Amino acid sequence: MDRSRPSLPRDNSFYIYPMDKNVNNYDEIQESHWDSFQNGHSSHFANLNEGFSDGNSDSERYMHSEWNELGNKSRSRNATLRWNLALKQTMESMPSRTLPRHFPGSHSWSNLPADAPEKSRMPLENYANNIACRMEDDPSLMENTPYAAQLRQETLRNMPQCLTVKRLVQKRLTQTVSRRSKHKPLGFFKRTKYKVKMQITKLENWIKNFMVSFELWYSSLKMIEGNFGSGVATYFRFLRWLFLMNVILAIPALGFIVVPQILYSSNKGYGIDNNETLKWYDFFSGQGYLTRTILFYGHYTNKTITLIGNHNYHMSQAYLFTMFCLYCAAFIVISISTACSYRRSFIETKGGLQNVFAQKIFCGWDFNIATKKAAELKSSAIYYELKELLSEIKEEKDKKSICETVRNSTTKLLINVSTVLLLMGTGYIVWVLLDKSKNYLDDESQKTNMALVTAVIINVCMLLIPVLFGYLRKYEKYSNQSVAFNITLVRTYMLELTIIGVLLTFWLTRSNNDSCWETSLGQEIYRLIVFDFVISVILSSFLEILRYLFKKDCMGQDGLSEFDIARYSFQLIYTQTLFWIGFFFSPVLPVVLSIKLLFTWYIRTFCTLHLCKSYARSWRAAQTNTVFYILTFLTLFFSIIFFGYIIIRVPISSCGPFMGNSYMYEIIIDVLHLERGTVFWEIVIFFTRPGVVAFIFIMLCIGAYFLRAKGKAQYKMVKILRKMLVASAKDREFLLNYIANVTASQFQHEKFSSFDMDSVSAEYMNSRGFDEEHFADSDSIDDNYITNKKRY
Amino acid sequence: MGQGKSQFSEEELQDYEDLTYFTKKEVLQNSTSSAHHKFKNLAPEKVGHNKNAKLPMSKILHLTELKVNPFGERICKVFSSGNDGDCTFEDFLDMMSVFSEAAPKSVKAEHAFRIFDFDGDDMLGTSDLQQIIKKLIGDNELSKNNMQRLIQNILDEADLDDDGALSFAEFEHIINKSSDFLNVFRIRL
Repeated sequence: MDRSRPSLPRDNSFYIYPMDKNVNNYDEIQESHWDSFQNGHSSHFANLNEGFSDGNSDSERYMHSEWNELGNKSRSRNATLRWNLALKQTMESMPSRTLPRHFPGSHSWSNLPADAPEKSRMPLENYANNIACRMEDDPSLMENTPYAAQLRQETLRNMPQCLTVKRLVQKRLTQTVSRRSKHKPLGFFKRTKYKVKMQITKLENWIKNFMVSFELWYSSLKMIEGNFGSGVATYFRFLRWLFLMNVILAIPALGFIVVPQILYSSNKGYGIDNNETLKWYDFFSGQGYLTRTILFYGHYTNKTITLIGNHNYHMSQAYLFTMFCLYCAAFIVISISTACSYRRSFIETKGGLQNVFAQKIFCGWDFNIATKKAAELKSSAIYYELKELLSEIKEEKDKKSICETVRNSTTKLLINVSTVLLLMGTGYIVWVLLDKSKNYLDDESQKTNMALVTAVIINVCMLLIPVLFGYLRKYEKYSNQSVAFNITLVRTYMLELTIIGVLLTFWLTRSNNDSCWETSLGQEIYRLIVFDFVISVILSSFLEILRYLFKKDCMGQDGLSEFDIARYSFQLIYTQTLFWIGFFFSPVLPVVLSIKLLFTWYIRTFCTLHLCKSYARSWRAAQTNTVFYILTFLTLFFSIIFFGYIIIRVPISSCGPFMGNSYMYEIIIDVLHLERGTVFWEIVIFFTRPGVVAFIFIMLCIGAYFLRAKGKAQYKMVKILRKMLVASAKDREFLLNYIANVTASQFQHEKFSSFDMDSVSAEYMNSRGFDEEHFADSDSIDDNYITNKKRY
Repeated sequence: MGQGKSQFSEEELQDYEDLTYFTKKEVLQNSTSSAHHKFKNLAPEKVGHNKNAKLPMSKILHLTELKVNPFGERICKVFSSGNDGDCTFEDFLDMMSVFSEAAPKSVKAEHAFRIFDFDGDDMLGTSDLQQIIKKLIGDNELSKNNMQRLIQNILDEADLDDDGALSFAEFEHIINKSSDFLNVFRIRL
């Protein structure tokens, strides 16, 4: 217990028991008394203790000794060190306490106590002047350049002072700067440079102002955060992010592909023989009339459009390159945001698995919460989680019996096997359904029916099987909740991959005997997206409302259910995956998806605000969000690989913008004038040589190895620094105790002549070179000391 | 309206934009989501006459987010320029700016530390931790034994230099390792 304390004699240390602001209640004083008493101290202290404690000291003693066992270090420090005046002074003037935290130590002006106005109670103006004076001494801040001005502003903005002080400081600094800089005329070049910089800053501010007024769905997001905390809000943020991304994707797709096609069809009287009439169910099936509209690949022409004068517009090239650019842009944006999110929530925090207790306490409260009900729920959630954490630590110590372990692992194995079987079964069903709908090629209405049935069944699978996974998870008894969550997530993701994989394999292997398999695949995806909206958004919300009403009216319960962030977010990912596959074959798909997400937003907001209650557990929002980003990234990655395969290996059918070529890559070769013998060709050939590829690969490996070694070294460095930190803390404590002993022994000498501890302390402090200023704020301690002295 | 605009000079607005994480529009806009609008709503009769009126803490606590926040009073005290919990508009603006999305982690951590430091000794000692936990769990009660174990666990995790209290550096270390702090330590306008 006492390992951290230096083994110095203690019985001669003295105590002040100030009714200081630091000791708020009687209890604590009692504790510190008892604590010191236990360590065996001088008799006048015991007297003091008597004065405080009452009759039933036995139970107290028991309680306190228990407390003492656990918190001895801190308790004893409270008792012995903190209330010693000399020590208090010393500690308060330690550099670590007086240097503000976020400024480089080299700045002389930064040598300010962090909470100086509170202590000295000087008027704010004086205080501001103080800061300004110190800042003025720093030449790098006081130059009359935009850079220095920016630095000044940043420093002031990040300074933990109140705004009034900051404004006063800024005023004074601006005056000083303009006064000082009068003598230096600026050159023309510099002046222009500064002017340009000023304009850029102004523009930035203007853009910021502009963006603020257009933050999408601000008020509903705030309402959700206020009622449900930031966990549920992550779903809505994710939804908003996807919506914006699809809207942005839609603009170039419409501008470069769809609009030229419309112009072409209307101008040239180029009527594709669309003799079908539009029926209502076509909107669900995507077939019939819609087959030959701008909705799908097959409608687009491979001709060259002459727009204005002699300017030609090659539809096939435009189609391919717009798609290529959009996929690349989406890939870059998603990979960057995934990487950022991953770095934030996994690398910097090491998976967030450390410091569970401290994080629960310091980051536990959600400051967004704005309703009483949510606040109460949050309080009890934190309470139960803390209890759970405490009991987990207890349980870790007693191990499970072998029998139980065997049973657990058998259940896990069984469940995993059945999951795989379930996935295979789903895949098979999807295949059979697709095959059947293919057989009705001649009969139009049968074909439509079959297609609709397929879409419905696939979506129902996507809706129900994850629920089943959720039930299975309960039987597996994972001790770690987040592991269980991730496992369910992986299973659901596998389900999605199975269904989409079967779909793609089917259309690619059967591509030969369809007149336009690209359109058919686009239609399939379109149907799935539409039915996903109908089933998992509209229908399930409707059922939710019914359930709520039933529970409320018939059973008298409140009927509110928890918002299932994981399930709903996964639905978004599923739709987005479908979109990545289908976009290439249906340029209008981003518009369809945007509309869908728009409606989803309003339906979900309504349902959430009226039918849901806040989470009973806290949600690790940032990490789950990262997982969702990663999944979105993976799906896009897979679909890009899929398109690479299509472009190079799959023969195209006789429809759409690439008609006339046998493979899509021929367009690329055509545009880039890739012929044997040109320089570009040589370069491409060079970089695809096995030797070069191997060389690049090896270099990458070496790079990765180097970074890993560096990371390991830094990890070791952290360990060493931590040890040093502990060592220096022990040294500090040793020195503080030493000071305590020095002052105390002086006190012992003068004990009988005069009973004035402050004189001792003051003497000591003076001898150490502390000036009077440091004692200006010790009035309260003096007062307390006097009140204590009366007790003797 | 326009009456809002006339209350502040252009210079003041510029200062606010420079020194907080807000834009001019967020400071002063006629819609409901501006700092001044919120401040005015807390006590329309006072702020109507004097734009920079000092509102007592009880009025500031009418802000819904602060009302239900267990640390509401602490927040007011930390941000009030007189240290008594009463806030002028500038104090309020400062508060909202620190809680805004744009404020960096270090500034937020600094203020969080001050909020949690109940006794103001620039360290989070056991008594501070005990008060934080008590406020967090609200009406629920932790047994004394559990409370001790909890505090001991926190100190084991976070108290790197073994001195029985968390200094700012140690606190910030925890905050930096937390992925949710930025999401949670935020009040939207």
